[in-house]
Amino acid sequence: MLVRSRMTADVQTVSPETTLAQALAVSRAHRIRHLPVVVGERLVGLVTDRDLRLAMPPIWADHQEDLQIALRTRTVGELMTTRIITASPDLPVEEAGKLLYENRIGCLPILDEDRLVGILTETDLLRAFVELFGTAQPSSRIEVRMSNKPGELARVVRLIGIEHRINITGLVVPPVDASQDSLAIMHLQTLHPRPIVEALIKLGYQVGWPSLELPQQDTPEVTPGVWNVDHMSVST
Amino acid sequence: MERGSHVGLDVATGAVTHAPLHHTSLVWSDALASYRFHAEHPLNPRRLELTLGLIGRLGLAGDGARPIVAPRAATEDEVLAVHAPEYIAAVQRAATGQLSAELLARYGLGTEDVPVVAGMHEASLHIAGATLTAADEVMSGRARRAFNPSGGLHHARRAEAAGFCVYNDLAVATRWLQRQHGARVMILDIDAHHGDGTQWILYDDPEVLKVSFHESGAFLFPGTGFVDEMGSGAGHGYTVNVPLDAHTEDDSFIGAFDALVPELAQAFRPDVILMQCGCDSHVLDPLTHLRCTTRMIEHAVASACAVADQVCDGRLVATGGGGYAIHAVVPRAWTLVWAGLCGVQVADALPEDWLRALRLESGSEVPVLLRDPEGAFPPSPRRAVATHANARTVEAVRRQVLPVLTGWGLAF
Repeated sequence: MLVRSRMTADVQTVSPETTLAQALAVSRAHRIRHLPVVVGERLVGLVTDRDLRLAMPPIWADHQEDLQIALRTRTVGELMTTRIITASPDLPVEEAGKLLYENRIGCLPILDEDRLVGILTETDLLRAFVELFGTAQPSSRIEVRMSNKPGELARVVRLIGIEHRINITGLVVPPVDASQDSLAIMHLQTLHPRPIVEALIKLGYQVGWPSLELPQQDTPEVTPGVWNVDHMSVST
Repeated sequence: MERGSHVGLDVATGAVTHAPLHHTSLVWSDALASYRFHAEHPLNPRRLELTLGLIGRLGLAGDGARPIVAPRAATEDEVLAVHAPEYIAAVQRAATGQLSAELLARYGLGTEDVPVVAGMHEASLHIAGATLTAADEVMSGRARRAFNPSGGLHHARRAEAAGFCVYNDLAVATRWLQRQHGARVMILDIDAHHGDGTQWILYDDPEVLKVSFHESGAFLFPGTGFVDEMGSGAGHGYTVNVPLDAHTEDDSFIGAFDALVPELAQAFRPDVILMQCGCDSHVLDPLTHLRCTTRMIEHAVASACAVADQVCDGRLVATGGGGYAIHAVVPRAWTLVWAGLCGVQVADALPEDWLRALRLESGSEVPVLLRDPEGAFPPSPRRAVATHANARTVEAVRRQVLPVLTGWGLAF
């Protein structure tokens, strides 16, 4: 999963001569927060809705009119950020995500050589994150805890996919914690994951359906005692 | 249209048929048990035979007021109103082993959930036809309510089998009700799993109100049915999802049901209610995490009947659905559904001979009373959390969805 398959290719851009009022209108019309500033196809800056809103007069300000005039006459070129972190369309999404959070920024303009070919935002990455878990298909969620050693995950996957012939639509294995166990979060394309859960438990794995962090549903016993007819008021 | 009198109604022509209307029809024939995958498959038609057996043993059907009606099969045209022609062709060809692995996968066939078996097309037409028969019983005025325990296959999509379901009898019946009777249909689905197939097939239709109460997709298959799935296009606001927390019990489920269903029905004014009565919300069910008892399903049916009496002259068509504790729960739960539709009181004691046979067949202890007594099961370990979460979900539905339906303000 590279940036090119997750970015927005149809980018809304402005030019350095665009007025602040026009830029605001574009941002609102398309419900987007980041506007790359281009001259031709060349990226020269970036303006965000935060930049634009900081330039707006507070609603209680005197001389509103002066400020309104300023919005219509001052340009994006005066406001834009010119030191921009960009990325290539061939960057893996996880590296793009790292660039966003390490630099505390909200978007990456995507450049192919010098040409602006797309934009990748926090929202795009969140969406990729969600889809990574495999929830797009009708599925059941389970968690399996296993020793962090070679072959364990393969055994689990083999049991599900080969022995039980259930398609795995999502498999996420977060990094190990201090316990040295590793955890697999899976989405299985079945309404009936219980046989798999039971088979894995039999092999010694800890399994949660849907999660190890929730109490498991142990089907209670039907104990004859509480079912004593004498305790009931029998309606007729 | 004269509301309040128990008469059959053709909504399209306005013709009123006068007939005694205290009938309740039970749709059944042995042919319906042919919707069968294999011995280990959870959707075992034995649960239907046990249900019919208990209803019969208790003397609750088979007379003039509560006839057992033989179903017809649905025609391909009736199913085509819902499913893609290439999908129907695929189901037919799959059964004769003529479909490539790639096409099987595309149509959701040949999986563990929906294995390919001989005659699956015909068996699925029978199930859809049985729900049509139930709908016809009610719309013709022969019956006030009807029950097809074999129906409720709510996971089937337009061109994809899923979750044990091939053809979506609820959607087929809805289209039939619309075409034959011009009816506005309210679908009320209380199966523990979200009625996703029905939702997606009818998602943009404002003439069908789709209401589903289910264990949240965050915890259970199919993983959908969140409050913000509200319908698309003209259908926006006509899909109402009430995702309940894992380990939800009777009081919280009933609270959510009663807080929403009467108001939704009053706002939508359906001509008929189509209710999917899956009983897999039961604490003994092996396929879900809900912890309800027979009290919930009995209440939901009684409450839905009362709502139907208020808004659509009592017209209610009920189906079965999920329910995988085939000895301990399904026969009792669906007997209570049937009794509720008939409006008859039934004693709690179950016949000894019936229990003996059931115990022998299941090889384990079985509940000896029709209704689960208070305290039969340990309280949910998540009672407080689930109760709070469900109350918030009901609030979210009231805030986001109800205003669209009732036309009060914008749903932003």
